[in-house]
Amino acid sequence: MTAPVSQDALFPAAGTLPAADARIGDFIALLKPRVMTLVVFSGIAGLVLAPGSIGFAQGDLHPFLALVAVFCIAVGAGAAGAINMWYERDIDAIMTRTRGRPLPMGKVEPAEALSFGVILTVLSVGLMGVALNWAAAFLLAFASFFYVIIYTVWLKRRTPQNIVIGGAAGAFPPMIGWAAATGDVSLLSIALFMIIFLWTPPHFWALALFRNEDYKRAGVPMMPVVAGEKSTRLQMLMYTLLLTPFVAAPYLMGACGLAYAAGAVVLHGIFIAAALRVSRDTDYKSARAMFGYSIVYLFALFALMMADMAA
Amino acid sequence: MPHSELHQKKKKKNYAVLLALVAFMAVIFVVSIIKMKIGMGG
Repeated sequence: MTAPVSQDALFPAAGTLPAADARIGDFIALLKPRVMTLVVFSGIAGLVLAPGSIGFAQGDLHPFLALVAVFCIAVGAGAAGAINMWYERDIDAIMTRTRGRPLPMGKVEPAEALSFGVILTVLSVGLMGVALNWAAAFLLAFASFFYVIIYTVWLKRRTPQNIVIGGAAGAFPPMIGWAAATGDVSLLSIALFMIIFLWTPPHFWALALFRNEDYKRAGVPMMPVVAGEKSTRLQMLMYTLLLTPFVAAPYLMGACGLAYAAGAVVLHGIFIAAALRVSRDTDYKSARAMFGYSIVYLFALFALMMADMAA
Repeated sequence: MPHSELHQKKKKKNYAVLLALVAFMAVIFVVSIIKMKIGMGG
């Protein structure tokens, strides 16, 4: 007869598994490479959209320094992700979506993950300051602080507004890219920040809708868990509509031309239509579709801005 | 001293850290050169 296997044996608490020798791939996974893609892309957008150009002429931003800026944004964001995974290893072990991460799997020791994150944060902020300027380095450090302390430690487990306020952390990259190129922050860079900031709630709540059970089990007070699905669906529509003037801002401020305006109308029109569909539906099909489209939407919007500026 | 599997794995990790440090130093070196060039109006 086989001995009964307890739930604890199947899914031991984070950090209780003996850590196998971590491989480089496990440390790369700690940097959340998929999230990093969007961070890098929006950071590049900030660099490219900033006044001045990247080149070898006097007054231009040297291409190598631009590359270093993007590298620092990527590593800084990844490092914050590693610290986030260290702090959330208990709930990551409970949720289906995150159960396969290196810490709940016992592939990396918690202390290793924390020191990896802290060392990379210090190096990326320091390198940004030395190579580019200290305004960009300050913004990078502040974004990491916001993501780790304000979002991960303070808000995530306490309020359904976690990703509304915490979303600011993910909105910093274009502003950091801009600051790396110019040394300051301007109205257009604030508009870029606002686009990601207001895009975050509909994007994340779409995911939270069809992962509701996961969050409920982990005790994370996501909006669908606390306020219910109907209210969440309406709030997603509200944030999507609030996003409209900020999507129009690059055109209205004269930074982008008609090509951007036309493309943005189409992209944002589809985003609003998706939010409307989610607000009317009761199943998760539309939420899944909106989540997928929201990623394409943000990439396409920033690509459109850069293409318009280059034209 | 016998080289166990653990030794080999640790050695690999140490080489990876060494490589990362050398790469970081190289980046700092190139940044310094570029900064000096910019400072001299190049």
